Amino acid sequence: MSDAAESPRAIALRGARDMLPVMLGGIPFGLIAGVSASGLELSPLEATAISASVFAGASQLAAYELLANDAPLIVVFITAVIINLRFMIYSAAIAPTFRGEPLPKRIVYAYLLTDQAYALTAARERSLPHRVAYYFGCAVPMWTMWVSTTAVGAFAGASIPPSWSLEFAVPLCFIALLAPAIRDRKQVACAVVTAVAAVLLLKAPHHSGVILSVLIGIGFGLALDRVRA
Amino acid sequence: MSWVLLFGAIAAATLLLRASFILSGGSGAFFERLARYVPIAALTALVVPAVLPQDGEPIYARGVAAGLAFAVAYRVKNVLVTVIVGMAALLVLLAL
Repeated sequence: MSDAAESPRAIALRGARDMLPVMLGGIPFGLIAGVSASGLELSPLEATAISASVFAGASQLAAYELLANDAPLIVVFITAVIINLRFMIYSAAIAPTFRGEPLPKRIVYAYLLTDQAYALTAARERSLPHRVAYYFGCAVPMWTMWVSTTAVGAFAGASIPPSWSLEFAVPLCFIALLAPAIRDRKQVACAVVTAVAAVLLLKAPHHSGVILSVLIGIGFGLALDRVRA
Repeated sequence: MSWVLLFGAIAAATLLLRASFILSGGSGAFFERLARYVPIAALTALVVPAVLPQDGEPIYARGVAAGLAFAVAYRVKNVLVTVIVGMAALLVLLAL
């Protein structure tokens, strides 16, 4: 009840407990990332190392898909960066929580930043004590889950028959993140414009369709804000 | 070797994005507006090409399965349930 009486350790454990149901939802995502990597003939060790270092599922899956279609490496890189632009936004929003922490710790906290850890910590009121401990408690299980499920997926990947159409699970994971994120009419308009652009740009040179349609969608959303602000 | 470089570069860029404001401090109203659209545009652009019909399949199969998954995701906000429903729908539609 009274947070003030709780130790940082107890608050961190509470973060881990709050993360548990969210984390379970991420398990198929991690398995599929491992399976996709093994489809590119990356070894399980390489697939796991990528998950540990990049630690950003949507960009990893997009990169694997582009590589499977022989996209140029620079297009793969730019696409991954654009998908991960949202971390800059979370970084801005969560920065006050880490003010006053030493630099090495802030680098670790930045490395562990995910959609899920951000969302849980942001939902916790500013005034509550030990927000940093809460964040850390959320973030560490998420990292552990992501790296271990990727490893399992990468080992299992080779034995899954193509007739299962498992590659379709990748867009399904994105749909699971996308649908609840659309909350107002401008966001619906942004999604529709991006979708139309993605179809029209399907044959854009060097697989640049994803990059271009994301930029068009963001630009359209910001323009709507300008018009009806 | 080039893949090591590629994913090394992606990992470094991603860490820079994550660390940008945490290390520099401060934030901006512009980024809060951007935050409303970046995830939606990025995810939509990834989903759409992957749910278009593929050669030799019923033209509606992937689209219908994706639409059903979208409706489920909107209601239950759960990745596992969304993936199971979408995969089951696709496999049933392909088997028809």
